[in-house]
Amino acid sequence: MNDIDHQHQSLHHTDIYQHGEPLQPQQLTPLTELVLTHIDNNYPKLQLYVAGIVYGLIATIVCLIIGFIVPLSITAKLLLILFILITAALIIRLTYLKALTICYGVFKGELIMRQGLFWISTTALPYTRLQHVNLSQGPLERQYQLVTLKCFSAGSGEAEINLPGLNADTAEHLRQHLLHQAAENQTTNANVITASLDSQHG
Amino acid sequence: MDDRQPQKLSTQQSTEPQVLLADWQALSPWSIVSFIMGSLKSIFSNGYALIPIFYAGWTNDISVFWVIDGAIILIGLLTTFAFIQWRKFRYRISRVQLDVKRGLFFTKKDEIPLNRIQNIRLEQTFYFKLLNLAELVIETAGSSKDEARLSAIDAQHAHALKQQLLQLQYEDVESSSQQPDTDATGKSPELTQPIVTRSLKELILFGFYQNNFIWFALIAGPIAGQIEWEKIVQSALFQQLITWVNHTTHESLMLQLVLFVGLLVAGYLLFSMISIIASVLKYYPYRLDKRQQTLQRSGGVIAHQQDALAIKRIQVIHFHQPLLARIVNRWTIYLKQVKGNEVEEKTKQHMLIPAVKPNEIEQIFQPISSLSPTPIRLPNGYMPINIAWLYKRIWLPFIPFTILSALGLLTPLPIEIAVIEVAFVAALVVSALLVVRFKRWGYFLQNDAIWQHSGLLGRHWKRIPFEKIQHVKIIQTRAQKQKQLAYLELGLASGTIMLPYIAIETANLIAARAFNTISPHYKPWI
Repeated sequence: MNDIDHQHQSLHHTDIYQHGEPLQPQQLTPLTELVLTHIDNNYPKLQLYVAGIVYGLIATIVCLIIGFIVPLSITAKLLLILFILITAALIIRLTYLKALTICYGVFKGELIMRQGLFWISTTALPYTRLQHVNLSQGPLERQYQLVTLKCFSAGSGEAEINLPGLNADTAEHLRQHLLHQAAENQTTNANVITASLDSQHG
Repeated sequence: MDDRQPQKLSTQQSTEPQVLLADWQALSPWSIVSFIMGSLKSIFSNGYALIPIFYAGWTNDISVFWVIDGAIILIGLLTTFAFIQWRKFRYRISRVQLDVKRGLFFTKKDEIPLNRIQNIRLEQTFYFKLLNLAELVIETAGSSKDEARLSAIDAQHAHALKQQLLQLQYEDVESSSQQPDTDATGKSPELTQPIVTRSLKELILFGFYQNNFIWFALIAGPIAGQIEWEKIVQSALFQQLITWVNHTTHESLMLQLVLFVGLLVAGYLLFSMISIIASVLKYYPYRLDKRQQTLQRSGGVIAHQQDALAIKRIQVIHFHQPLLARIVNRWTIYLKQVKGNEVEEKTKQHMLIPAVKPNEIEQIFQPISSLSPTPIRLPNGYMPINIAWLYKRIWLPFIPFTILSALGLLTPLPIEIAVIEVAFVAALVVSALLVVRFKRWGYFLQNDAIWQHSGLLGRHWKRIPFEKIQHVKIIQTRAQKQKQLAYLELGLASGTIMLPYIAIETANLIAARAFNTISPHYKPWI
């Protein structure tokens, strides 16, 4: 006891930490505010290149058609071409910005993904509802070592979570983790069934 | 699921060895009849597409002999195909799966794991009833394409098979195919108390309120296209009709209007009659039973059907009240199941409870306690969504009107006043409908479920249990974020359900309740 008293007396003010009031449930971070990890930097770049080439080509073709075929006055043609070029640039820019917004988070109970430029959507898929996981890699993604992860639940044919632009190593880790979670769920599932059968017989 | 197998073995042992069909089995030759009928049915159910062809043939005076020849060739072809189908059809049932093999040139083999079976229907068409045969239709995860049909099976045997495919306990199989037991769980289906039955009157009511003009339009469309209206108008009969109308109504506009409305009502009643007859033929005598962990609906006049559905497959309970049903205060209850990948949801129509009074709902769901620990009854009211939903949409219908009037006033384009007036009236009507729709949007939050209310002329209540939710999605625009609003999308195996423009706290609360229910421990939900 004396020792403790002695220690207390010798405390500096930096040795005491004020924890403050405990957080109220309302102050916990809601789903939409959670801090998430961004996907690989190369993915927005890749999207930029692809969109640049595709929309650039379309815009060029349309401009050529307008320039040589459509019968209009020179000023009208120039204005129209200018408009098309601006639109194409805008679309390319938006594609890039949208790719930048994609982020994800691996939590204890669920996988969370957020994306969207104007409509920001946050999707949460609990591991207990995961039916299957799919990794895919297109030819262009292969150049940048990128992988798309798809997580499916039951019912609808499309993936609940479609997470592109993951680094190949991260994706593999993530897949392992998700499969591990699913396997754990399956074992508990089997236990539940035997338990319910026992209760029925008893 | 494998853990169940030893249990089954020990309970089964000497009871029903003939139920297991581990070797490839052929169907009885009677199945040829049902194969032919199946093809004929699919031809006739797409029949309204053929009506114009028949009409054209009729007007072009094609000889009756041609028609008879055609029919004979058709029947001959169908019989040949059906014979081949029967010869090549094999099935077997092991403890874990059902295998079906069929096809002449392209052999198709389906392996259906028993725990993926969604619905089993036992169907007895009237001609099979006489022979004491039945047809089993096995549906997997709601997909109509991959369903398996085992036709012309001995009725007793079909019952036993059904039990086995649904992985029920063997005691039940035993008692349903033999004598009723004194044991409470082993009663024969005839002796158990049904959850709900529907009388003829209620089914007529159902047929009456459920009908919609869309079907009529679908059938009438191609016919109307074929008719040469000008000729009809000029025909003597039509002219006579006009004179008769003018004569009897004394050319008064009011009486003509009454006549017109009367005709419309008569047409509607005629159409209702078709719907009523269809409803009675399909469902009478309606009966819903609970046996073990399955719901079984039976009924049907021409073809007696028995649908079975494992209770745990039910995801959302959808209460629907069409406009006409509001007058008689009845609801249709749909038990929504896992959705397949196909667009056409065949299972949707099978599990429904027609013409339910609001005060009956609690009684109906009381025996199905695994759906909800608390009693299920329709909420008395609902929280509205934010008015911003309406503000965002109400001005949209006025865009065509604004553009038209701007063009008419500012440019020399010849736009008639009448067009602008029509656009204005249309905009008013659409925005009024939007207001009604907005008024109907809402939700009701419970501890174990969330209810969504929506509708335009009719009303929908959907009960979404938290334990069936698969994913949660919150969507916000920047403007919504400032106003603390959000779209909430709840993903279920039966489809997604959206709650638009609700407060972000509510969205978070719903998400929290869902995650607290589903995340901590795994429980099979489909």
